[in-house]
Amino acid sequence: MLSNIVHRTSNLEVEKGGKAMQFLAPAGLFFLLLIPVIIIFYLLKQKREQLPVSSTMLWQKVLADTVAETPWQKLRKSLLLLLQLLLALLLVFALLRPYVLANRQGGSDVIILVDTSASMAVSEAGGSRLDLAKAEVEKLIKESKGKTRFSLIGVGPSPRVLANRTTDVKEVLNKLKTLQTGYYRANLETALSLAAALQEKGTATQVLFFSDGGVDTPEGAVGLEHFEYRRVGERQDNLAIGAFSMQEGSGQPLALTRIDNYGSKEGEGTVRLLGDGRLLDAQPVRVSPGKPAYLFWNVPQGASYLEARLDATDALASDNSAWLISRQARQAKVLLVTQGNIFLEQALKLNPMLDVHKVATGAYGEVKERFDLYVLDGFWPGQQPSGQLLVINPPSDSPFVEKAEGMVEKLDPAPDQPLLRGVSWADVHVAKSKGLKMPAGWQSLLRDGSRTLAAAGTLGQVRAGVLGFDLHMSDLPLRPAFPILMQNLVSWILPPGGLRDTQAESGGTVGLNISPDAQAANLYNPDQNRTALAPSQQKLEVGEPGLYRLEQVINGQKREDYLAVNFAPVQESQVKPAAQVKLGLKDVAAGAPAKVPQEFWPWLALAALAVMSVEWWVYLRGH
Amino acid sequence: MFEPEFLRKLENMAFLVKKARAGRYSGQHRSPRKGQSVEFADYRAYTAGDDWRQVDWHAYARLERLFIKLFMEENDLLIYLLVDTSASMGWKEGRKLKLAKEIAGALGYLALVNSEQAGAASLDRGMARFLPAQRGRGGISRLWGFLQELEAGEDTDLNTALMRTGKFIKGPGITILISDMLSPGGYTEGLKYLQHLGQQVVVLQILEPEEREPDLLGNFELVDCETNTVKEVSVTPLLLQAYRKRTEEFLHGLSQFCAAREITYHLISSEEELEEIILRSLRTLAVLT
Repeated sequence: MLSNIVHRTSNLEVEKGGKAMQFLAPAGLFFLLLIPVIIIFYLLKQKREQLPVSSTMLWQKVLADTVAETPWQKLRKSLLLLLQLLLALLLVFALLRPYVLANRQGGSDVIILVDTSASMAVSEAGGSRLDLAKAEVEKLIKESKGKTRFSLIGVGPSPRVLANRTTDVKEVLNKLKTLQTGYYRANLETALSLAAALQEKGTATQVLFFSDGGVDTPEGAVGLEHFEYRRVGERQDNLAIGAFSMQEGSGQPLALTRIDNYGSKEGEGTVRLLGDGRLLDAQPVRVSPGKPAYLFWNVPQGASYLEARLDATDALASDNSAWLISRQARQAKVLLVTQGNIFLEQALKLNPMLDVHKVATGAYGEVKERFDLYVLDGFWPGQQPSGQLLVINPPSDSPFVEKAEGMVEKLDPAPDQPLLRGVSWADVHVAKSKGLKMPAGWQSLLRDGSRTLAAAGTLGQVRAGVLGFDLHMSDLPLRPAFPILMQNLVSWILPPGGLRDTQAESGGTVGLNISPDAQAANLYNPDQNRTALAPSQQKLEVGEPGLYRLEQVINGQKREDYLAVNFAPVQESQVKPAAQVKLGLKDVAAGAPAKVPQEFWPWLALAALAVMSVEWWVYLRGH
Repeated sequence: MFEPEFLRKLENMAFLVKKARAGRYSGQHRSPRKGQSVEFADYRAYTAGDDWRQVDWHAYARLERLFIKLFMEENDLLIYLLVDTSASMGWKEGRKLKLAKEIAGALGYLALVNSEQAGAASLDRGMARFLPAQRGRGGISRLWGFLQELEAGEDTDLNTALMRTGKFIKGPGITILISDMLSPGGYTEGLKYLQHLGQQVVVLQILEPEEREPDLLGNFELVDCETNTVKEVSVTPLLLQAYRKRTEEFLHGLSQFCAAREITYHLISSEEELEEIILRSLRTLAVLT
């Protein structure tokens, strides 16, 4: 709105000492017509009556007493006219409603927004950027007028009100000290919405934003008139690990690290690669501005997690490390032993948590590796494998078969069985099946009369699921029920980790999947501080970047899951303070605080009143 | 010029001489009327060459020492009448001047019938005209004739005019200045000069009531009737108040000055009656007895 007025009245701008005086009501110029009217009145004024007196000696003395003799004797004759013209000019000037844009601290309300985004942690001379901002805010508050009401808002992903329109300076200063930077990008839009809601209608509220300008800005218009962006910080040299990934193929895993230079000069440093906390390799690196450097690493097999650490003296430290969890650590290794079962193979590969390896029944003896899950299709090795088991169509010499293969008449799924959740048995037919043994503690999933066609249970520490029929002798693989049944079985046999993801962004959240069977679940953050988690907890907020470890104790067994939290807001690595902040279509420049229009017509009116009094006085004195 | 009744009343009056001039003129000028003029004043020791006739033999009889009796010699009195004939005196149909001439005529008459000498002079920017001191009843018509011819004319400069009275005032006496005292150039030096000439000075100031209390309101060009200078004035109650204050200050200054210099001062409104002025006011002021 203000900018419209400024635009509309720009032809009336009067440059005066760098301060532009502008007018809110230029239509008032019309009243300048009063001036010729006054002059005409003056000219038409009746001549004075001549009156002879014995002596003007005494009159002269009276007049000399009232008005000091001046060199402008001639002007004195028209003093009244001059005063009246001055009066008219002052009144017209006041009617124009002139204002200047002044640097003053606007109004009685000040809303202070302090950016707490990651880039505010940049080390500047004398502390972090946030420290500089705090010092500036403190100075502002201490220099303020006594009745100024302050609001203090920490600007993060969501705004945080620390003080709300209080005149208690001590309280505001105490709250100010509690501000800390986070590992997130700040959202100015929500903060401004909050500020707009906080400001009282009718009072001139000044909104001051202390930031380096690296924030998410609103795209629409902002309902704040007096917004100022106070830029904090100088440094712009910053190296960051922009990407860290690993390719795990059949051969040796290969890791890639990208180093970005956000500064204006070439930067150098050393990048170290650590695996499971041990140093694996180190490479020097030189990065030109705007030209990322790529480093490749040969990673030895078996590392659960990797860390890339950039050693360089730059502005921001938190973006100099990156972590990643190897697939080995996050995927379960599955060995499918089959003579060929495309249905089973596809159903297993649907699950991203499974690293499926296939081997023919004849080649089983050559497998030396240990797998988490053995899927045996129509095969039993004689000796139980050391992993969990999913057995399809077990041979008669396996320990699962009780009754020989026979025709299946009617499928009778167990009701309310969690493993059959979402599985529809309608339209599913099985031609022939073996009858399964039911050891103590085993659950029958599917029956045909007295025969058990599918069951699940534990053999010591091993979980096992058994289907008593050959999939080729059934239309089950053609039904939607099949992949669901397989997922249910695999999920039960191999409980997924307690974390739904292995990668997260700092300042973000990760989904939790703590097992209902877990006796204890603890989260260790990068500083090895332990946080106990309740099984019902669904989400976890993660702050600082680093490697998090979730430890669950399930049935007496420890299960560990790793979470790599990386410095997320890439824009925050761009630490160079922005020259301006964009508010909708408007750019608010930094440094020079936005100026506030100050009207001064009341002073003009007062001056007019004074001139009127002088005029009256002069009139009484007989000029 | 005057009513016979008024003149008769006048004849019963006389000028009061304030300062006894004992010793100064003793034995030097004989009084024309001896029998009445001898008034004992003092004794002094006889020295060789003194008049034997003035030795107080009674004192010699008692004290066996010769003393000379001193007598106050009564000279006939010189009355100088100075009439301001500046233009301001002729303002408002010359009421002030007319009254001034009447006062001068009456006082001159009083002097001449009392066998004293009286002269008159008119003052404006200088001493315009003068009538040397007259003696005896024969002088009355000459004095009145002189006064009647006086007309208001020039502008006022009392200081200059009074300084020029030296050729007119021939000896000590009483000088009566009748003026409105509206002299932009001031009056103090002139009055001091009169005293220097050995005069007992009486100032009779005549003002129009409107000069003290102007009945004006509004915008005027005030024209000075002496200098024709024009003063543009928007007369407001406030300004009138200031004028009144200024006028009172002016009158107060004059009376203070006169009191300090033992000058008899009296302010007369032009509306006052002549009889009232001569028969009452001047008596209370101890100008006349």
